[in-house]
Amino acid sequence: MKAGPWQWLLALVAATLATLVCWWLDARMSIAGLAMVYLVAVAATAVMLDRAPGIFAALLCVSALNFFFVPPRFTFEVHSPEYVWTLAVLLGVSMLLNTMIATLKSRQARAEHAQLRSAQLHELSETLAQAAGAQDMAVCAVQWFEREVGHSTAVFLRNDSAVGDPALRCVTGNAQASAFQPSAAQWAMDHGRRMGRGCDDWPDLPLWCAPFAVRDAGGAMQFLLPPQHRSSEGEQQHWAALARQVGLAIDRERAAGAARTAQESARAEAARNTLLASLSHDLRTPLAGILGTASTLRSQSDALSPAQREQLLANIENETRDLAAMADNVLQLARLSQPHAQLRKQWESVEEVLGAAASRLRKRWPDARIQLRVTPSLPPIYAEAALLAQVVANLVDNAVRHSGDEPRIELAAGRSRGGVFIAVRDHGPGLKGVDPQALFERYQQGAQRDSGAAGLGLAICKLVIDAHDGRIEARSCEPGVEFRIDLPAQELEPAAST
Amino acid sequence: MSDILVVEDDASIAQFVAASLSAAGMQPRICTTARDAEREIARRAPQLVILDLGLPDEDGVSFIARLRKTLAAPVLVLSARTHEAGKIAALDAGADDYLTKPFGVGELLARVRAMLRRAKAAPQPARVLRIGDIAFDRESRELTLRGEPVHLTPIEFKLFERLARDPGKVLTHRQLLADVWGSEQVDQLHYLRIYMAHLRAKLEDNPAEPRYLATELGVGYRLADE
Repeated sequence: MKAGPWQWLLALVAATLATLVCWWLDARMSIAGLAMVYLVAVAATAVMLDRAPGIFAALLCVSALNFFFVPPRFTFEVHSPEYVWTLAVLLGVSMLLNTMIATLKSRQARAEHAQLRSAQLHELSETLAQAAGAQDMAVCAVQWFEREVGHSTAVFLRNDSAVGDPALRCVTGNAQASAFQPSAAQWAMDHGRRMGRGCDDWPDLPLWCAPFAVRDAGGAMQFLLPPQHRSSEGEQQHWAALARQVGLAIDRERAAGAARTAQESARAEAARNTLLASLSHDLRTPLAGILGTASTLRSQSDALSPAQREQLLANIENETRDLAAMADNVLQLARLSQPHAQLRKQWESVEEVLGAAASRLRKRWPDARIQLRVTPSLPPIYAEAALLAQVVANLVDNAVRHSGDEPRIELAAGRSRGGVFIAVRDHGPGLKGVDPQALFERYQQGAQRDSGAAGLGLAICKLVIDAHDGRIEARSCEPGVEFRIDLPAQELEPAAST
Repeated sequence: MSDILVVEDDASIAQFVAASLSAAGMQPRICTTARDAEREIARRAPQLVILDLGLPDEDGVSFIARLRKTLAAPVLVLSARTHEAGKIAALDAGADDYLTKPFGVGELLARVRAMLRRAKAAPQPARVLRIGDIAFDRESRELTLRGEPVHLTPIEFKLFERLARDPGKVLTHRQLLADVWGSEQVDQLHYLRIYMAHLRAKLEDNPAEPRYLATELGVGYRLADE
């Protein structure tokens, strides 16, 4: 630090003051006594002033003692060896005092500095701890640096997610991202050391950059430095330490995120395995029937009556049709279970969907009586028609399977509050104490009510209706069960021309 | 005997289709690739093509588009459930009808017979189209239901007339919108739904379960032809 002019003035004042005091004491004291007065002045200036003005004051004091008081007075000559000694000691002690006090002062300053820096480090890590996620942390760090350090700051983060993105993501505060240099950040990360103004590497750049870590840095900090800025080694070390702190926090956050993702995917994996196990079980039942029937027809065809043969062939057809329906459900399950499943939604008419589903289902279940009642001119719904038809088919399949020998199914649609409802009602034995909500919850072979692929079918229904922002529920009727779907609808403006 | 070209790379489906066609008194030829099919067609034009959309050597849709330039015979596409979009594209490219796998022999033969019958009638459509209780006079542009005239608005008439031009054939939403409203309106599906509902209200006894104006779910509509 450079001493101000007032320090030099103070040095002069101290020497003058000491001289005046000595002038007053001159008659009553020896030269040694006066030297002590000067020594007090030297000690006082050494404590109060910087080193250079302190030394200046000491030199002034020694010169003044020599000039004004040491005989021959008012000359700089010294005749007596005693006075030479006195002056030499005064000079020596003054210098020593100055040096010691300056050393002490600088130590104290360093200690205070270190304390300040460690307080800053602590404050930074406290600030970062309040942010969640690497991105938030970077934003938080940038704001902190711009407030506490006072330079425009950017945090560069390594992008390991998407392949198409640039290698580094830049987070900035007040300054434009374009003002910073990703290439500099990349260099610092690759080489594991700081670079830019004040460093050995790339000192001509208008910025300063430090990686988060020496090896495998997950990012870097960058400051924009004004042209006249000179930063000391200590300051740079401090910045580098702060950068490391940011890096540590972000790394920790990333690791925690990765652990969470791994946990989630493990859970999804477990769910998939359960599903596959249930599926393979459900596939086996009809397959065993088909294989057995086909082999019977092949090896014992002659021993069978035409009616028996006809029955066996019909069984094969039916089992295979069930399998095909199951395959459709599995396909949709796979599609809808994806985190961002894309539905091909269009404006659809519930009447058409139900009409098409009903005519298909009557072919599939020729022995069932399927009645269709649809309120005319229902509002259109935004849906994927094929999926909705599949939901209806699953519900009707389910109803037919639980309705005994003469299934009677009622299929209805009408207006509900805020939309359209679809209801599928059977006249079978009912839910028999099964929790209506649990029917949809998971694909699992439920207790008594499930036969064949019903569990899977209802799970798909739930997935599809959820994907359409609707609701599906089951309730017991006397007799039978009603499944009801509520879908949101919107009134569209009528077509432009007639 | 009807000469039918079956283009299908799955051996067991090709066999079952060919067997059931032969048993029904038709004459199937089997190819497993698009290239073979082209050669067979060049050798002798078939009366009907049954085409699997998942051929190993060429995308079914582009193959149909190419076939349509030289071949007038109707094309029936076989599509897997995983290729819902593909079958619509195939119909837009010029296919006449579709079957989704798995299908039974009944459905197959019904489609094939209807397509052959339409292809035979195609060059000279009768002046009056009669389906059930509906009669449509193509020249005087009169539509009657059980002898009573039915009054249609201009757009309803255009829509019915478009369906009646190809009775029995599936027309995709896009084709109907382009032909009735114009090619810039092909995304306005709700126009089509509204006018189809109007038509059904005028022609059908029970619009929810149409007898004449059939819904092909997610694909389009067809006018039943029997």
